[in-house]
Amino acid sequence: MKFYLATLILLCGFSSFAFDVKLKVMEKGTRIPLREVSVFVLPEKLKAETDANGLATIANVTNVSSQIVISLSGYKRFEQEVTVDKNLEMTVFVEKESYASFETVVTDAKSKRDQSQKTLSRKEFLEMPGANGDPLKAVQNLPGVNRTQGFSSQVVIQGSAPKDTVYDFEGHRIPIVFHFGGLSSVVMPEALEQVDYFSAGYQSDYSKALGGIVSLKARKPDVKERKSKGLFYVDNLSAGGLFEAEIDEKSSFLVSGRYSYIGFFLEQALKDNDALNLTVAPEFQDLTAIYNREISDSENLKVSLLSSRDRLAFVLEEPLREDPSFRGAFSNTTQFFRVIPAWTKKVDSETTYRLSTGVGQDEVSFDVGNQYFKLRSQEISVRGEYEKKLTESWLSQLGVDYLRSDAKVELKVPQVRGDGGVQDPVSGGREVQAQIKDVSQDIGIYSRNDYAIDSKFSVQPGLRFDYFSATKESFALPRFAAKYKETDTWLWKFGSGIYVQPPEPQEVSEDYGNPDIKSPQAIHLTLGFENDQRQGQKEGSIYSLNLFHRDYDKLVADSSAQTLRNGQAVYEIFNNSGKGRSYGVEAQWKFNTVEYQGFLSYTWSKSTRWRPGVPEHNFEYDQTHNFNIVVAKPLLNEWKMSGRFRYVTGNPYTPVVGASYDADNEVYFPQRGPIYSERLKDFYQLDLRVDKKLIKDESVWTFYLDIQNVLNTKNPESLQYSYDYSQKNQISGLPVLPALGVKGEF
Amino acid sequence: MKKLTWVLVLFLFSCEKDNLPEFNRLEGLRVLTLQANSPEVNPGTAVTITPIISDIHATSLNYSVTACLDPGLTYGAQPTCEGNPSKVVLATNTALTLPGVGESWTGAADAFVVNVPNDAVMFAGRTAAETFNGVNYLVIYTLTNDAGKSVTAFKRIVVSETAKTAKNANPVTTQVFADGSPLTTMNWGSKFYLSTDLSMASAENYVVKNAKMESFAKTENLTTTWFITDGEAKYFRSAGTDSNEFNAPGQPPVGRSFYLLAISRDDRGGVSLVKKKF
Repeated sequence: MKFYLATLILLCGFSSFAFDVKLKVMEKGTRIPLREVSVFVLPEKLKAETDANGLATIANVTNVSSQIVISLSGYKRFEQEVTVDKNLEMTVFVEKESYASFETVVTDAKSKRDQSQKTLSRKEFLEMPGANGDPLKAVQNLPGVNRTQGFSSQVVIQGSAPKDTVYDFEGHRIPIVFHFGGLSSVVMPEALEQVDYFSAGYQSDYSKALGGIVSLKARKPDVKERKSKGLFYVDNLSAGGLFEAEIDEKSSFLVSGRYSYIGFFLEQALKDNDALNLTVAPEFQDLTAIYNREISDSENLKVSLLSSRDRLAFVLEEPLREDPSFRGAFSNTTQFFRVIPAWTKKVDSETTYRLSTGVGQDEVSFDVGNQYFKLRSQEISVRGEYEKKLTESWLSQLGVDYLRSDAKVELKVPQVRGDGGVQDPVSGGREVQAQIKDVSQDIGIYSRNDYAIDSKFSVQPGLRFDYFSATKESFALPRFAAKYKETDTWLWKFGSGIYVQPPEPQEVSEDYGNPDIKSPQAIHLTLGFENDQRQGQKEGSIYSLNLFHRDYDKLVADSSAQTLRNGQAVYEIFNNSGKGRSYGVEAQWKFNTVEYQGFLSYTWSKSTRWRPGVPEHNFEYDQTHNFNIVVAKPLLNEWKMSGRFRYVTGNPYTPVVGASYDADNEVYFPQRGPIYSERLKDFYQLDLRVDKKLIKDESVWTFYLDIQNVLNTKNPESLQYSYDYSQKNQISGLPVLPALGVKGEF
Repeated sequence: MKKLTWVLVLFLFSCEKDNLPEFNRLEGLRVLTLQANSPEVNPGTAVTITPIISDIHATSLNYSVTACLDPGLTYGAQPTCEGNPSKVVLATNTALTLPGVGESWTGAADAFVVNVPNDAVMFAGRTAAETFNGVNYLVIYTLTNDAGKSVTAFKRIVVSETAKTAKNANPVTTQVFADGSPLTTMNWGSKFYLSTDLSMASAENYVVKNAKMESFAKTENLTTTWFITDGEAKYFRSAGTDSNEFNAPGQPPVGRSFYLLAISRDDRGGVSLVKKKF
């Protein structure tokens, strides 16, 4: 009896010592609350589920020595011994199985607004080898994108000219997309959601680009899971940081900035060079800020700011051998900013309004000796779109696209010819001195339609009207695309259209060019298919293949002919006699398995130009074969290795077959052979990247080494001639170039 | 911009010295300049042109000269009179007598005269601004050596309206200095600074007019180019009256003389020459 009484007292005593365990369950490193996660307390087998904030309470834990267990798919099993001798509140961090995967995210063809669109997500471009985390360098791996020189700051699309590519940020044109020498794009990659690339056959909401569009999309501040977070990085070229936070329940902001110090390294490299004195080491900086307000469930306001500045100055103590005009103080400043408020309102499930305005200023300043070019331009752009689902099978968009440039230019520059990429000496050129004030307006109105004929076949007819005040021209530009979904995995697509592009400002300048110049035009055709074998899974392959063809007309060409203007015989300088074509096939295979991820892209293409007196010849960027393979392999312990191999046919160049000495200026005028009739050697490059992540409870540290041109292949990029063009050397591109950096995310 | 980017790139990656010939090194067949007695003239003027040449290995040289209205060089036309209806042939494969083997064919060659057409020809279809600033008359000089090598040089004679009296004149130089003293003897193996007696007073002020006949005042930029057969000059060209570091060769060249030619220019076609031979 005494025994039973004692046991009863003991049990009652224990039961009066039951405690609550309150847990906050977060993902290790990122501190993202994990919701709907089952949390177990052993050995009592008590269970609770986390709420939306990652909180869970396990009540009445009576066992002093207990164990918390969390088992969640995609995460490492979490086990922790705890002493429950009082009510406990604790935060636990559950580690993901891998933080170091390289995903080939593919925008589903169904969700693409434009079938010519190729998209790289933030995760893709941040981790792509050879791109050093840069979104636009990553774009250069895509099929149909021609390889540019190692120091180029351009994206060349399907055999078009560099100036035929338009760059926009949030749908509004920006003047440059790369900092000095193509080292880095002008936006901090982590501030972007994605980069879209539109090639042949792009639809009517875009225009004014014979080549295509590269569009940067800023992301909204990500404050769903955490109210604030940030990151910083440091590498051997630049340093930067990003911070994003919630302002209130409906508002949030993001701000990021970068500053380069590559100039420090250049200064060291050039320290002993008597001929070149760096007076302002090259530097760049950029700032991106985003404010987002969800006005209501159906209405959103996003205001984006982008500013960029590049500066460089040096003194050439001795003139260049080829051209003594290049001597003395040189300085260059390029800066711009844009403020872009964007408003979206979804009136109902069938109607959406989108309106955005870009306001900003571009400034470019060059000084070379006693010559200069100073441009200041105020830019205002407006994009508006009304989207309406007219019937169950017909989605229609009506939009306006307006750009006003109010430019002031002061220049004193030589005008020299550069047929076939061989430039006449600056010393022998015509010096143009002028002050120009110009207001130009481009007005575009477009209609896009997506009409589903049946469950498999849909057509996208469009029409666009463009007016360019610079040339006083109006155009009606039809576009047409079609999709045929043969099976769940096979999609056929077709795109076509007529495209125009206003001439460059200097081409229509009365002082520098020809005011009678008109807008170049092109016709695009593209036909292809996509085979997505993933069938809704993350793993699998996607094949795509596209044929493209472009015909160019009224291209602006140099001219030394004379013409009558206002009754006076004058030199034309430019005319619209240029024609051209480019065509080819581009293929891509993306694969994503547990072991490997990556893609292979290949483009075969031909691009030619001609004009009266100059027979059809290769274009400067005619690259017969362009092959890229990118492979990434996640390893244990958050290591990852990835690599990229590129092979591209050598660029054409124009041979110089002789030269005449300009005795007045001490320079030689090159005598050109057949235009672009010879080629540089083919281009090979292997890039490697190693990433290692350290996962701390409340931070993730990423260390990376991105080595471009691991094999130090001496790829010829250009030719250097002797002063009289009798001898030449090749100039090799980038040598082995390691980028070592660390990124911390908090 | 592309070219300027490459300027920096060339310097960054030019660790290996290239093997291309130096601009101011006199070795093979060269025309160094074509000196007109008057670089800017009225229409209908006879202009005497003196070529300054070098070919230290030659034994004989021949020259040809043609002249024509400027086909539009600054607008991209090729520097040639072929096919030009105004073409005039002034000499065809004529043997040079100067500067001769004794001077290693380095220096002033046989002069020739160019008769500039009258204003009706020169200024036909030209704007008022062009006739004020000057219309170019092109002279093409081709030099061929006994090895069969040929070089072509051209000069623009600037022809401006008679009413414009302030015409360009050649800069004036008569002497080369070594460390500020006249260079009369060569100190083999030594380092010194070269300069000329070029005065900044030679830098003329002048006016150009644009298509709207607005006037812009300008001043000539003077430069001196240092052509040498031996030794090392730090810069091949110096600006204004700047000096230039020179390392003389350790000893005189064998079988020929050492030559130094200082050719000073304004930037409007005016030229002067001082030649030194040791």
